[in-house]
Amino acid sequence: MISPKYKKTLAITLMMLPGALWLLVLRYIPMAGIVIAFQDYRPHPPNPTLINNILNSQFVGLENFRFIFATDRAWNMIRNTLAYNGVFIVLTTVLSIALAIGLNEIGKKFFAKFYQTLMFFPFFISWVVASYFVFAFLDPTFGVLSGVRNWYLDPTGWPIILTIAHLWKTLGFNCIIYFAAITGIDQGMYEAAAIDGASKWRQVWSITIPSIKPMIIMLFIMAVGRIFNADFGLFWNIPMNMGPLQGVTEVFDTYVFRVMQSPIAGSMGMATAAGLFQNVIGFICIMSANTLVRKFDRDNAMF
Amino acid sequence: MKRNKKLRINRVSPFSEVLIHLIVGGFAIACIVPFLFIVIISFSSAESLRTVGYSFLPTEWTLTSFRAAFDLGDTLWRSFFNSMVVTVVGTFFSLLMTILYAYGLFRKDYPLRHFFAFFVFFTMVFGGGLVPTVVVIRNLLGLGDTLGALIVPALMIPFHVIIMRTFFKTSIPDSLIESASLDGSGEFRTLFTIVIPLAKPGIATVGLLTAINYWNDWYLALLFVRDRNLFPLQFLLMEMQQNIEFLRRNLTMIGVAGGVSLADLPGEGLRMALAVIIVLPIAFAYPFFQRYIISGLTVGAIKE
Amino acid sequence: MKRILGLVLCASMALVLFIGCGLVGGSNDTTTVTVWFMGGTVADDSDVIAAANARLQALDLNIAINPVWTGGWSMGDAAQVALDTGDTSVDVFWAGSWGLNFYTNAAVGNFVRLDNPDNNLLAQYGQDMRNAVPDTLWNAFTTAGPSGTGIYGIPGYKDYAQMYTWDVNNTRLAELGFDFDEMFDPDGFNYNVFFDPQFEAAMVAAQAMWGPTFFPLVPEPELFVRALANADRDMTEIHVFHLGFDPANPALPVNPDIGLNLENDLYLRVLDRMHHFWNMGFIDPRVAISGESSSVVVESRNTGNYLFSAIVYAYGHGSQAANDRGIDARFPRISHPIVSTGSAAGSGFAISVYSQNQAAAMQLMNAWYTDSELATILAYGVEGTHFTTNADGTITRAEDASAIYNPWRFGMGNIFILPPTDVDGPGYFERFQAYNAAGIGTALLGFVFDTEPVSVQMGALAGVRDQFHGTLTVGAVDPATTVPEYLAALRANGVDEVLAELNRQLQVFYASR
Repeated sequence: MISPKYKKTLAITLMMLPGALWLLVLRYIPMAGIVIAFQDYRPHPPNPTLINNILNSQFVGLENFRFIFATDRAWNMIRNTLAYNGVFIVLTTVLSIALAIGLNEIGKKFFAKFYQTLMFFPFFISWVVASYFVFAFLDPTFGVLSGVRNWYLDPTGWPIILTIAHLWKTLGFNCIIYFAAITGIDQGMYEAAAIDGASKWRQVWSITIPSIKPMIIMLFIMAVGRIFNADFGLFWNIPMNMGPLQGVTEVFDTYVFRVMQSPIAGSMGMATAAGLFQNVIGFICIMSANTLVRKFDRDNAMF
Repeated sequence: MKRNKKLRINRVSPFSEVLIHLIVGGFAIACIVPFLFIVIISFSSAESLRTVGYSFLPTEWTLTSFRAAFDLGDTLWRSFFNSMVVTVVGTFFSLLMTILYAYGLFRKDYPLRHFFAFFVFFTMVFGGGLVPTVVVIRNLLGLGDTLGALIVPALMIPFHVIIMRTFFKTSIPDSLIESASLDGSGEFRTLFTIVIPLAKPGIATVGLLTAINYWNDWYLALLFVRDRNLFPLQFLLMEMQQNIEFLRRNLTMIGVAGGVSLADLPGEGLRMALAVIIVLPIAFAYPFFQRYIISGLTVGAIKE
Repeated sequence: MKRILGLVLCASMALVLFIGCGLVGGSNDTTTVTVWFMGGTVADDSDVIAAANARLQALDLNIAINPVWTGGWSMGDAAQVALDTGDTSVDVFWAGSWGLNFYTNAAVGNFVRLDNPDNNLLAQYGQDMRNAVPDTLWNAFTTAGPSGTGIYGIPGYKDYAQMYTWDVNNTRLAELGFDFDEMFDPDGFNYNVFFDPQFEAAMVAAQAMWGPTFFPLVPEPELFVRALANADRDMTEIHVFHLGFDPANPALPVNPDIGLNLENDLYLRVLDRMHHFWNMGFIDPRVAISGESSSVVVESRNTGNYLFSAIVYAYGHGSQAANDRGIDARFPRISHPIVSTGSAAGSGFAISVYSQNQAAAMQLMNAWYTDSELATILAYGVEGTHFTTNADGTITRAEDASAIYNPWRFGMGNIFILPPTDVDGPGYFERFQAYNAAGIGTALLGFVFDTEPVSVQMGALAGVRDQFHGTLTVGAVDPATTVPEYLAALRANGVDEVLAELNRQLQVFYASR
């Protein structure tokens, strides 16, 4: 006789199985390839399979990581990456929650729907295409703002332009996630609060925010984990890869891309090393954030 | 009826509502304006782009840019079909796997949930890099140059699993699961009859993100697909645009290609036309998902 | 429960189906060789490939060709991933000085050494091809790799002599009352025109006549300055090293050692002059914006809205450009036609080290480079369907068929065994060969820089280049302040170590010649 508790565990485990299997094959098995980050990875004929190549390639220690730090240009891009991401995380979280709450308070559902549909467009427009919209304003020959200065030769103002562009692209997306979370809240709670005479503000602070707290914490932790991953398209295309702007637009991903574009033999190791570096930093950040959350609010920690 | 009345009582003041309309609506319009701008450019003539630059008021309108895309004929429709298949099949299986996995993580009485949460979370930060991942998909799973290679690698997105679990947490009270369990409901029944209907807004949201992800993908095609008959729309259009741009930039360097003359190549407008062609299908599909996100309100009210 | 199981079963069946699709293809007796071509417009190649395979059989080769067509930059990226991940399904890759980079891949060991002493594929299967293509080109494809220094690729046989020329809109110049023949010397090298007071006067007159938004000077970033300063295209792609040559005799280097552009007098004079013209408002400010410059430059030329520009001249470009633009466009020379490693290695093919049909691949390439009929099928399609042959030996392409099958002709191996089109005219390829033959090898022809010992510095220098080069070479920034800054950044990122390594390798190259 199988105990019901065991049966339940078994049933749920069965549900996890397809996903777990997928993760195992497509995510965990390839992790063995991290070793390439420490190698001068080369094909080894006559039988150049991945395993053979790894077994026969030379170990070079931390050589592949050198290009991340060992240049004059590294610290500037590290500073930019962290500063932009820090600002983005705070602004995106606050503003998208505010928008979602606003959206939820709109009485006519037609408008809520309509606004929501519009908000979702930036998500589709690639940074390359979006850069042309920015260009329409800043174009030194025809642009609306061309009289002010030649924007593409002068870094002043670019931190703000990039922040606005980032918010334009991501707010709608985050707002929809929060909005869906808010619509999932039991309406009875609001009605009860209203009958008790609670103001709208009070309802937001004591019902909405606490209810979507798990979502806020989760998205926050995830964002912190990507503190070293910059949005390549934003930082490459919107400033049109202009040299004079590099001081304020160069971030980790554009920096690595630039190096990979230069004709260097054996860049596989360097590319893997750059990825690994981002991963390790991200892992440390997520673990710290999670530990912090756990201390105050065990239920809402990620694990 | 009763619900509507109650909701009306619990409404913000008319002044606040106007303010909200201004802020939310203003942002929404800011979101669509660049798209309208792109539509306008896609209908602007090259002459207009040259004389007034990118502008809301072009001096001359034309269909040239779209013609270049629609000249692709069968190739375009075949790619459109491929993208549809990948998006529909991919989204369905992806949602299924995501829901099943997230449900286990959500159940507080499931003893292995911490292990599996870490198991999925860890893959968000750590990956093996490009080479081994491609080798596994192509050689171990044998998916090279098939539509499967466009679907399978994106089936599970760890971020979506964790979002889904959080949606479950937000919208489903523990008491409901406990009472279902006391009633002797099996896990699969609990999931499909109680959890899924309540979590519709969350599922619609994740489904939407998944569908967009599949629709917009070109990178998997770049990695795996060689057969032009299997190109998804995004990749076909991207390749076409890159090819033209390449010719424009390098025509003098690479020599005069047989029959191709610079004057015939469509210009900047093409890029915009392609952006419009890609956005429209999924923009039209959006209201379908939206219905479920909005319908959460109704479900929430019935819950009491 | 059952529903779930059903779904899971469906999913696994769909998977099996996809996997099955991937395994189908290729019969036992015929070896299929997959060749990845550089782009063009190919929507449907089925007729063409059937005809090509029939021709291969007729040549007694039990080989079938299976082409992959990807164009533009995506070709380089996709093919690079295929090589990096050891894709065994592609045998031959197009590789050149852009797209899929020939030299870096040869250096890593992604390409087979064709004249490997142990297994000399070239001698065994490619002797006819070896003879059909000039030695100059084979030399450009000779580089250092894991199997020693040797031939790692098959040169594309097309225009390998490159010439810098002006691109002058004489229609407008004449309208302004300037005499083209007075300004430009048809027999000489016209790089000094840039400093001629007439040159500036013409542009002042142009803006007086057509207004301040008519931009008379249309420079391509980097290229324009390089052409006027007689600096060879450096093989590092960093564009900061000075491989200068004497325009009258490109075979002689200006200096025995490689130096920095920014320390070369002529180069600095050109930069100063550019900045002066920028300040005069002769140059469209959009030219300085990397994402925009190419479209601005191309549009200005196409519409005839320019006075002076410069190009890397490709054979046949002049007449076609003048024809397309409907103006009197003239192309007075800045330099001789020169043959450099870069121009000779512009396009070629290499056999992947992951290929399982290396011998068959070599046989296929050999047949393709030497059999006119096979080459014609692959370049133009099937006679009757895609083109018709005229009495004078030229061919006429079918208008609608070229929308379906139109590969990039110059990327199709040996173009000199093809019939010319009616647009080219009879005798086209003979004239073309004469142009190639007039090319003079630069002092550095055949030299390939092995970047491996200084790869960290090279990566960093690429970043410095991106920061300064584009804007400096169109005059957008002041050389008086920018050049010292640029030099300091280059030094801080190890340019001296790279120069030392470059010159060391160069001495070895000179000694071995």
